[in-house]
Amino acid sequence: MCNIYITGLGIISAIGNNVSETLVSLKAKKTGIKPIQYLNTVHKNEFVVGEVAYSNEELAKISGIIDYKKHSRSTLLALIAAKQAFENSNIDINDGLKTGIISASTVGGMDITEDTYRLESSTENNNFIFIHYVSNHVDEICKTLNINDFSATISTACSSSANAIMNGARMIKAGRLDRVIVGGTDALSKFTLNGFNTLMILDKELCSPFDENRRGLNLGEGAAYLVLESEKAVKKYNKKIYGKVLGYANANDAYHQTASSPEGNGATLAMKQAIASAKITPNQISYINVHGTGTTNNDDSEGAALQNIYGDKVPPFSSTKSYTGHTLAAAGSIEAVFSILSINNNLIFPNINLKNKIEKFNFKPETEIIDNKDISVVLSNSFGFGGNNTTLIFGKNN
Amino acid sequence: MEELIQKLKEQIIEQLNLEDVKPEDIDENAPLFGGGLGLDSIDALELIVLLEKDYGIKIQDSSKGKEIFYSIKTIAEFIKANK
Amino acid sequence: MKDIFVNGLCSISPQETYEKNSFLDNPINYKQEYLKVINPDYKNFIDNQVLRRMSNIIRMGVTSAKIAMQEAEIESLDAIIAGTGLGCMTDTEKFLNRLIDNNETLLTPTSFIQSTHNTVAAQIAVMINCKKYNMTYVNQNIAFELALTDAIITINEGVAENILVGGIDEITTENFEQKKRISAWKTSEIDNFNLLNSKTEGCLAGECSTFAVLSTQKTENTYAKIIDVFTIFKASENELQDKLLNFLQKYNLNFNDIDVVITGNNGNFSSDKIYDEFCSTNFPNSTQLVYKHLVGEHDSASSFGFWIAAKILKNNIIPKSLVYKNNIERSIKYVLIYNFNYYLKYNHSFVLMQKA
Repeated sequence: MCNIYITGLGIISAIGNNVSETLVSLKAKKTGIKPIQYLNTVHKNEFVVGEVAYSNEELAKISGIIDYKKHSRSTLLALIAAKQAFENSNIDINDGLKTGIISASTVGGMDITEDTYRLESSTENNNFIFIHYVSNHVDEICKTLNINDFSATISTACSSSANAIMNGARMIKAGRLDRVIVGGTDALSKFTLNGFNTLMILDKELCSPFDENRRGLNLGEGAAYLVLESEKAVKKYNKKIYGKVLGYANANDAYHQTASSPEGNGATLAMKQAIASAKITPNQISYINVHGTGTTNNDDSEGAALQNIYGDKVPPFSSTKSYTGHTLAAAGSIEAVFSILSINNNLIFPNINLKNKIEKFNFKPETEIIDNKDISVVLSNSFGFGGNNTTLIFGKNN
Repeated sequence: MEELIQKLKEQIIEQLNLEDVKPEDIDENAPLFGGGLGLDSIDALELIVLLEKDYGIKIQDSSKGKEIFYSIKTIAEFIKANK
Repeated sequence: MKDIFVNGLCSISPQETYEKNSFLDNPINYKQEYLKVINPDYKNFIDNQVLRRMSNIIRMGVTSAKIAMQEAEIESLDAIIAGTGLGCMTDTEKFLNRLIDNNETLLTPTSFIQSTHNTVAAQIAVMINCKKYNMTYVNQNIAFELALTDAIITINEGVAENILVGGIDEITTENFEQKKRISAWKTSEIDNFNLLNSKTEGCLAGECSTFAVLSTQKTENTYAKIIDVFTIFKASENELQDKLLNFLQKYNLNFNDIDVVITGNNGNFSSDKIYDEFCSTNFPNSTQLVYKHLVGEHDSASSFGFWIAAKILKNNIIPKSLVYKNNIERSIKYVLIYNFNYYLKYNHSFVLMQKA
């Protein structure tokens, strides 16, 4: 089996505007979840969210965009993170290697659509018609980074960018690409905030995943990208390698449009198959970055899945959604970057806000930083509406 | 009460798009969930909004829905008690 | 590369297409602003309990998937892969309008949860209890081609024998009116049979749901073989020509070997010209077919081109209503489907198919 190397990282979320700021926040157990500042909603004083601390105008400046009104927030976030990953990997787009992009989003340009949808026709008000498309951010990344070959956009709810990473790796294995930028983006929008509110699964205070008394999730926003390269691409240059994609799997819960099965069937399948695809045993996993949204349903179902595989002896695990909020389509790639940081720094980032463990399980997430272990293999879960469960496994480059 | 029950039946049919169901098909004492109508957790959330919109009653805790939405009769009683 | 066969197929479209043996025998002449699908009686395919929540795109998606599976005579799948440009617009609009009307209060969850782009693929999984690979691509006009590409990779990974793959998009009144503002459509009602003679910009909007069962085994039902798919974000005419040739040569083929080219002409003068020039330069001896005058333009419209290619390769019959240039009488072995984004003029796609 050919190796899939990770040679570039880029990230922007509520806990940092790049990889180094992100690592500082994770180490300091500093959450990015705060009262709403930028999203223009009537629920401003009601919910806390993981917002990126910039207006669209400021984000445009950072990403080198002249007219910020022509771009959705998801696209601006994507441009910033994708550019970081691209530069971090020092890609020469004209070196003859076949480069592609696979990115993910659920809301796309919804932040612009919801504000201009019913306004009368004008050049500016009509912008949403173009940028509403979920794939708009991918087109903009392609134009900015001169990726003219392969581009794809995935939208499978909250597992979207985990699927983008998986399918980037598959494209390289299939010999269709030498190098691929993978990840996802989602900005906060009234549409998603109100949508999750109708499901009554938003916590009005800081979320506490895997807590017995958890009340729900906090939404967040952000974007993260990884550069995946083939053996051939890596050999051509003497690049820094952050790690490898060891395994992956996508399975469906086939239970309900939004709810996860109480037995964690889909999640169990995804984890089991990913572990098998990495050709390792469950006990070789040093750390699990769980999906852990903080809803009753998800954490029960995911906990059941962990129990199905490990019994009571689960490896150290945590949900980093207590730092960033649930960034929907971006969650998989943001947590992939966290997983790589974990491997590169031999650190386990804790679950913050946990008070009481879930009673029915004989295991609980880590609540303090662990820095005295070798973290060689990390498993990361991402689950979405439609029963879409994806598990990724990352490893050290030995 | 009879009037309220009849009205609730009609409203639920409309809100939940129960296309082939007529008000007289619904037994006001029969369980709404897991029974013949095949309602699920999403329908419960729809009913929470129905109570707020049409009766001005706000249910903050979705877990309370189970008792309130047991049957048409229990919903009617809840409305009467809280209006 | 493994052999991949199309063993089941169904399209619900503005034409009479969802019945197994129909192949555009009496195409419908429309004189309207946009085309809607002819709906089968969904109650025959979907349980009432589930049906009540479904908007039409989900109904047509799930139903065409079911019919394709019936045709292929299979009950379980190893993967479900969908492509859609805009996803579930009716539900999206419903939730968005209520959000605006009620100033973010008194909203209900159903339209929100049904609005996600992966709803159709997910609903199919629930319906047939398929716990396997489930994916949805959303790259505007290449969404369906990316779904096909993924299916080809999945089969070649050796992990799947039967894969359901499809393209779904719906046109809503609101979406139609909005795109009217950016001159995406023709400005008045149009006779769809004369669409391609208009010499003006804009096209005719439509919608469709096409699903196919792809399998590793050839059966009595087999329509055709899929060789491969090639998509590219941006290319000049010369680059496109070179890269397409490279793609064909990988399979020991040349431009001359292509018997039928199915292009995405939609009545938009400037983009139709690009198709025509590309075909007359590279495929002067191939039959050129078109289809968007029958089903209208939509992001996953090329999935209808795929439906046509599969039917032609099975029966060696070309319906008259599709012929655009050079109806050359010969046994049809290779068909190429070419499509690109007519409005933005990028995202080119080629699907190469062969007689089974």
